Amino acid sequence: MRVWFTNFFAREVPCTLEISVTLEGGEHPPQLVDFLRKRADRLWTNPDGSMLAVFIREFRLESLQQRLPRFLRALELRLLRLGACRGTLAWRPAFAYNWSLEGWGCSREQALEHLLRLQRN
Amino acid sequence: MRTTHNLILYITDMEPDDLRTAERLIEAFEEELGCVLEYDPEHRMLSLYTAMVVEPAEASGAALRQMLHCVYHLVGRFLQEYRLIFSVSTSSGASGSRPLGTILERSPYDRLLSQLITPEYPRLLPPEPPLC
Repeated sequence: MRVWFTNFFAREVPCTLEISVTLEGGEHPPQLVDFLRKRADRLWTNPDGSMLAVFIREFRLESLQQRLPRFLRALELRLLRLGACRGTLAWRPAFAYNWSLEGWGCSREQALEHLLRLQRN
Repeated sequence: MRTTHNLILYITDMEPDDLRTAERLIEAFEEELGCVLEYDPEHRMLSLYTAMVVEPAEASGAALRQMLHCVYHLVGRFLQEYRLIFSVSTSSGASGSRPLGTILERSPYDRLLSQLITPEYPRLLPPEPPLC
């Protein structure tokens, strides 16, 4: 694992998106299934035959607005050419963590003092 | 693949004595994490705004936990009593969905084209842009 810090307002930072394709219906053309098996990062098939394929792709924040629609268009056209009929294309940040924590703290020495005081009481 | 998270950290409500050690805390942050804490004397507050890039992106959760652990460890080493606010958000809020096939409705081709979408009629579709 490699971690580094950069400017909070930087536009050139990398961001990873999860693009998922949900295909409805029971039977799908073999060439479509073959494409998804080869190119998708994850592929699930439900008992009713519907499929979910997930593509994880890295973009740069500064060019996301141009590159994401191009990627979605290319993927959608490829799926349609391969015979996809009914389905949904969705995209969202991958590995998204949004949370905040708030708390009070004290030094280790103080924490120890508090504990000892509690024990004495 | 890499991904980025925005981090915001506020350290407030410090004891007056702790203000003297705030400078040492700023130095420790710079040395150990490579981040620059900003000191606001008017509000007796330290703040940090930074973007954290993680590679591989799958390790984001572990990296954020480690970062939080480092922050608590560093702050607890220098300050007596304090209030800490730590916030994490993804740098890209891009999300949405659309049904397959809408691309053709927006294309100059007739809407009826969608009825012909089978592998036998690939030439009728608009030119294919490169797939990243």
